[in-house]
Amino acid sequence: MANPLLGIIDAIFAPSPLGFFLAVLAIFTVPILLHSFVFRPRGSQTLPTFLLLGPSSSGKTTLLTAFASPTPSETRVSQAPLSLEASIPATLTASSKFRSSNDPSLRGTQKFILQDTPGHGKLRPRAAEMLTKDTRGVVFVVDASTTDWSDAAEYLYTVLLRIQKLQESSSAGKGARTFNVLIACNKSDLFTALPAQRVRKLLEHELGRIREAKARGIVGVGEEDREDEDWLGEGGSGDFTFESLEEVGCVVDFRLGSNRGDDGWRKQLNEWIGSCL
Amino acid sequence: MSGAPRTTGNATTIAARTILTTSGILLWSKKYAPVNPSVVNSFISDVLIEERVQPGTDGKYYKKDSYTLKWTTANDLGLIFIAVYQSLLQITWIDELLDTVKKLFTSLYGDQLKKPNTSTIQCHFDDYFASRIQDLEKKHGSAARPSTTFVPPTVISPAPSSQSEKWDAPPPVPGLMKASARPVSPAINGLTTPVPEIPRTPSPGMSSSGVITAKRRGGRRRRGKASAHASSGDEVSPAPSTKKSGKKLRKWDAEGNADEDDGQVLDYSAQDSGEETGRKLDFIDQKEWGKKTSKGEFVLKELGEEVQAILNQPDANAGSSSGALGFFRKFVGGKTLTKEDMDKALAGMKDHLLKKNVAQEAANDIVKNVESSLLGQKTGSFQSIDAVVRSAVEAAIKRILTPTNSLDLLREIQQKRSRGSRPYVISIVGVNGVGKSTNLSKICFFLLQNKFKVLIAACDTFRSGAVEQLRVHARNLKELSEREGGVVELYEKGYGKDAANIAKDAVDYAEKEHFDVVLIDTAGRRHNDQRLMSSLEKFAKLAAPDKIFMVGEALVGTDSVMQARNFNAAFGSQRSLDGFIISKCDTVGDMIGTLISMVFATGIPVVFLGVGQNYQDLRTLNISWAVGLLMS
Repeated sequence: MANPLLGIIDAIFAPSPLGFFLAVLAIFTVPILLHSFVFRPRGSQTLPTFLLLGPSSSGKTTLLTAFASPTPSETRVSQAPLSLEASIPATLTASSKFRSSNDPSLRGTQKFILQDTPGHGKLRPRAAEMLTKDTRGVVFVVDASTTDWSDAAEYLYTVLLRIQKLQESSSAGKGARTFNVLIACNKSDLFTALPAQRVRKLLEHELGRIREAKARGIVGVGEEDREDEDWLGEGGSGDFTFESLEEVGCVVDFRLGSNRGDDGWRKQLNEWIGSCL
Repeated sequence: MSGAPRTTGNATTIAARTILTTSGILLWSKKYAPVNPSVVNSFISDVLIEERVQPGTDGKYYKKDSYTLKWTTANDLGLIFIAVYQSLLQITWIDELLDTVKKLFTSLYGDQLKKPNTSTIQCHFDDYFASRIQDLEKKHGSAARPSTTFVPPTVISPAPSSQSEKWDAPPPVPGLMKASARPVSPAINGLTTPVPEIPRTPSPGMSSSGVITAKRRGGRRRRGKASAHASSGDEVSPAPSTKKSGKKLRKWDAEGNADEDDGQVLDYSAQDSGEETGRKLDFIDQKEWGKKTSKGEFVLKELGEEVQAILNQPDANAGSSSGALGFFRKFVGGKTLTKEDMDKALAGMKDHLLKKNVAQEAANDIVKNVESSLLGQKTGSFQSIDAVVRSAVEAAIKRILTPTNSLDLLREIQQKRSRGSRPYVISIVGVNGVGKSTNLSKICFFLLQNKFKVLIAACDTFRSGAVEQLRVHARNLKELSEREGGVVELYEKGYGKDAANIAKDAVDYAEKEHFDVVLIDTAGRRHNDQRLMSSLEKFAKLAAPDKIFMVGEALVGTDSVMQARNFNAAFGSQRSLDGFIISKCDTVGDMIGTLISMVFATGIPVVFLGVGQNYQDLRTLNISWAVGLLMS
């Protein structure tokens, strides 16, 4: 009876090189393996994400690269999204207002992810899909010098409608957080560029028209039984205004700027992004 | 992600070469002649995004303005390599150049590009490229392509001067400067001389470098290829010169000290004035014969060897995944996809598409596009190849069906009406019996609901009963819409008359009577009957429709591709279809492959679907619905 047991105990406590080796191996590898399995998915995922949307050749990618290097790169039509880690001085963030000027955290930087998307018509649905409830804000880039606003407005309509739906679904659960949208009126260096207020008026007009047309248009196939109607903004059938979006938790801001020149969009975007963080 | 390196070699041979990422950032480019970025932009939109193949090119090259583009992609890194050159020239080695440049670039900078959350990389690729282009020029120029143009050395010299001007400007990023540009340019010049459009100012004070290159070339030729004719092959002559001047510049790059040395060279050329040339020339000549040559040669070799080493190392990692590990990876993921891996999954997808009534031709092309887009990509963790292929096909279908510009008929009509008195004209074409008149009346019903004043023009003057049929529709619609406030009228001129003229008269009449919209019904015609199809061009010219919709049956199979193509081409070079109406969708269940076939063949979007017998059974396309049915 005792013999086999004793034998095992003996074997365990005997200074066998194999046993020693295995023990050492286990001691060193198990924590490492555990660590790699358990902790890998964490990390930089929690950085706030800002999405760059807008029609093709409005200057999204150039704006993005302005954050990567002092001189924006030359770009061509994008076909795929690109994300970039960027940072702003912590003093610019909205929360810094409440801190003492001696707070050491003000000397650091606040990091965030800026995500560029392709603006070609065929790739827009996928770009819009990247807009999720985790997105902290949207920078919608438009070419302020364009004469035809219907394309930009059409895209903006889908984006805003998506934001509205996200807000509606999320606010049902917990307290509503406002969703920040910046309409970046790009290319202000061009002679024909319109001021931000004028762009706002034009886009409001176009969005109102699109909203009207969508409501009266033909239903999509397979959507006949859908109850909820897509109606951008709050209730009434009057003119569309960006203010009406605030009631659904979406704040729209307008800024005029250019990728050319001393500071380009950086300063303006830093301020805006700071106000969202 | 998308980087296309565009290198413009020489004005003459290559106008530009570019390396871009798929996200649109230009990583590296070399231009030998000014090339408008719009050339590359329209290439990306047309070929890479909309997947349109220019007729006659077989998808291998792309022509825009006076340029021809060739490209290759590195999917794993999301890179696009583009070469732009004058269409007039036939360059046989472009493909080889693209391939080798791709290999070089990916092995040199691949690691940098794989880092997440970065946009640009520092690349000093010019020298590698120059060395490569030389080799190719030498190889093909000497062997395959004997003389095409006579290139006297004297003609060549002015070119460098313009180059040196460029050099003199203080380079903001010296490392990125085009070190190789100068050496190559002489060659180009020689070649380009017949092409006037290249802006080159032959300055009186010829820069020494120019002279040098010319000289060297002569010397080279004498030494190296005594047998080669002096005037033989444009490419032959440039090559040696490139090599020579390239050596000097290149050396530093290989060692990583490019900046300072560049500066020195710059100074040289800047200071050169006319009087100095003679002296310089001598100086250089001596060097050439003396030790400098040998030294230069040595340096060149160094870079050349590096390039060769990279080019030869290939595919080492492709083979490594064989055996147990490769087998394991099939399930765990993280495997680099090769053609063999995907063959089975792709064949399965193709069968699936064919079962959904997608035309053979379209299914083949979709699968081929998916294959080329996946080649070289890595599967995600715990992702099987089937799943990867499936989602890629799904994405491809989605992209095919998504229109570049969405159509908002009501808005367009309003816009047009607010601009002038001419009504908005929509005409409907199609093969016999697909439901042209039915869909026309459905559209009419929709317009009437929106309180438009609509005129229906009966331009089917061929088939007996066609006019009467429309008359019945018009009467029904009138009754239905009386309460809504719409107005509808039929414009008919009986049978046997010329349809195009009736259409024109109808539009004129509508303009006089202040109609908002004119809907023109046409006779059904077989798409492969030249005689019937040819009348469409005249029709499009006379009626000048704002929109031409083609009705296609969801029931039709393989023929859908040819129907769409032929109708699209029938309106002449100025006009094409604006959209498809796919009728009888309610009769095919989930076999809606015709949708894909027609859109794929022409790149024209589906605007409406007919889903029933009633006037209100008209729907717009819902892409997720279509993709869901096709992939189920």
